[in-house]
Amino acid sequence: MISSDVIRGYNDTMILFLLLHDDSYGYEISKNIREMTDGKYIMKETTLYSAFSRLEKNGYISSYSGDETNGKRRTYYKLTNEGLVYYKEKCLEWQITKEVVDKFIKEM
Amino acid sequence: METIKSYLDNMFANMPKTPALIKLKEDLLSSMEDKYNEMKYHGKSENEAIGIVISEFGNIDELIRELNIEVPSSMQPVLPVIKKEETERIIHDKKFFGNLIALGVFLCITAPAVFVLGTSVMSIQMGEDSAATLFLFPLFLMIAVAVGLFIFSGIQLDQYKYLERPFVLDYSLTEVIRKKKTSYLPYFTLKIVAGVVLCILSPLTLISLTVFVRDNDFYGAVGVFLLLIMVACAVTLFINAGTTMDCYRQLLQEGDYAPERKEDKLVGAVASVVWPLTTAGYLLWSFLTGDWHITWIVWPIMGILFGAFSAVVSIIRGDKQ
Repeated sequence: MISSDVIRGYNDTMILFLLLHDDSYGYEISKNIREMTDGKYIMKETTLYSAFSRLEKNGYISSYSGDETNGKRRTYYKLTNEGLVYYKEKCLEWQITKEVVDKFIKEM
Repeated sequence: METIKSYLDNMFANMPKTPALIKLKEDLLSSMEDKYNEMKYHGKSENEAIGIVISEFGNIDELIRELNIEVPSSMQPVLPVIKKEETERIIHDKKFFGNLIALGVFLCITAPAVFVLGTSVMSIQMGEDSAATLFLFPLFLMIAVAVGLFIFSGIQLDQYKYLERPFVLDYSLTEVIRKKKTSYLPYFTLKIVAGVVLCILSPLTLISLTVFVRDNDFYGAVGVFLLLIMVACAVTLFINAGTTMDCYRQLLQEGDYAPERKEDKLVGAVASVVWPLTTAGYLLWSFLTGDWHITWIVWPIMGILFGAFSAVVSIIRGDKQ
């Protein structure tokens, strides 16, 4: 398990990545994150929903009510154009971050 | 699943009920439900699944900060949270003092029974008047002990008055208490049925003794004695079963104790007027006329009337829901 302090700045990036191809909802996103990282990172519910709220406020994603399945209506999230731009910025930022931090990482 | 729901309720207990927050809570619940169902699907036990879901919930403060929620401290009163040890103490005390009250009621009803039988037995040897005077002592002693029990239990139970106002039960407890309530239900039913059967059978002892044995004062007194003892046992069973069940309902805030109904305590209010009045009426009637052999009839009649009244009230309330 990764400490959430280290990864905090990139929670939004992960969520945006998972919305690149298709709209999705809370549990599907958190499940995908867990599966893609082989369980090394599990996003807490409160982290996930804080991120949704922040991303929506900034106009990076929008939400809508999905069709009713098994008696409940899920909230779906959709990536906006601003969100895509922001995602690309974050990818670039990570490249640079990685380069910088890598300079100080030594195999021991 | 209930545990997860009450955990979430607990987390949101002190937050304002805005549409956005209600929506957020629903989304969180749905998400947690999905996770729970998947854990179960992959062969995790109930407890494991709940444990994982709750451990992966995170920190509610994170959401509060992000959403800029003003958690109002003055506008909305913060609900008291009741924890495990406190719940155990509440259940123990409510049962214990409930039983003391039941004992008091038992004494109140058996007091005239002892008086009637005692007077009848002794009046042959010492005359009716002296016998009646002699047996006034145990009568008053029993009533005095009963009143003492009522006052003592009342004061002890007063410390739990805060349960009449809304509160939050620690999330893991709701399930535990609901289980306790479910496992108590058969005993509850059994006690109520036994009480009702005793009530119905009680006049039979009096009737059969007076009709079949002989029309005789002594057998009449024995009949009254047995009748009152049976009614006393029945009422004791009702109170014992009722207080235990009430205690669980109150902790779960169900039925009469649902938050929206807490103001409405009609039956309790009526009871606190009716029973002292009945006692006063009984004593007044008995002392004015000296007809102790018949005045006891007040008790079973009032008992049945009061039972009918509370049944009607609960039916009317049931309709409203």
